[in-house]
Amino acid sequence: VSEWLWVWAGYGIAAATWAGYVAWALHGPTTGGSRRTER
Amino acid sequence: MVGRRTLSSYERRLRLLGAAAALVALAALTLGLVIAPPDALQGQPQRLMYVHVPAAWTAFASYTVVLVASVAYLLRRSLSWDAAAQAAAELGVGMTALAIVLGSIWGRAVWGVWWAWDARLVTTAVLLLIYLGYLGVRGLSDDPGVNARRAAVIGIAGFVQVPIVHFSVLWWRTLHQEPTILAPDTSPPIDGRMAAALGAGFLAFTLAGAWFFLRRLARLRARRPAPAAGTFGAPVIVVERSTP
Repeated sequence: VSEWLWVWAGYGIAAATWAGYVAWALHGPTTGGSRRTER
Repeated sequence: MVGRRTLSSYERRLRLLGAAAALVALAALTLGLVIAPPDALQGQPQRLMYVHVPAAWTAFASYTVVLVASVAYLLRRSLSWDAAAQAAAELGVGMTALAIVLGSIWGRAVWGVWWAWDARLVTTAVLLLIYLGYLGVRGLSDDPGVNARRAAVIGIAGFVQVPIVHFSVLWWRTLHQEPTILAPDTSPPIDGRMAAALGAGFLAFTLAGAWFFLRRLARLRARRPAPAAGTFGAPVIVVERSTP
């Protein structure tokens, strides 16, 4: 396996993680136990 | 065409922070993938350290925020502090998982194995489980005060694991290397371009983490119902203080 393949895999996963965080920050649910104030 | 909206000063600063994080991330990618030389022994996979170490740092910083916000919640009983703890824990859990995955890929490339029952690896996995549990506890009760109080206790007690992870490579004989930059007695034996790549990685993760935390916090706090309890159709109750 090319040494660069490991590098691209790792950086790709890191980029995908941050893309997920951006989406979560902008559109993520606002629940999480203590946010459940509506009955 | 939609007219320009007037942005609040908080929103403007948050956008600036996001733009700065994106710019520094581009610089970090260039330094880490192009400018820094391959490691003499580890070859190209050593470049994974420029994201693995900043991810671990961001996780530690997040758990420190969880600790501070949890203490503040128990003292003040304000759900704003609880929201801060939640936002920080969400960041910390993802960053811990990312650090483990990146370390695992690096381990496969350099050690030849995806996982080793090594003190640093095992303590980090336990750290991830603690804060996954922390996030899980937040949804157990219908009473937000109860959830926040339980979470705060775990957020404080769970932090004990952070120094255990950090010092695990010094307390036990591990496969994982000892600190390079934070080594107590040795000057950093690191190439200038490698140090720059690592530094840019730290800055990019810190700025992006701060952006996520503040953006998520604003969203969590905005979710809190306006104090119009009792009005038909409005939230029935707003719990600011939990009952003992």
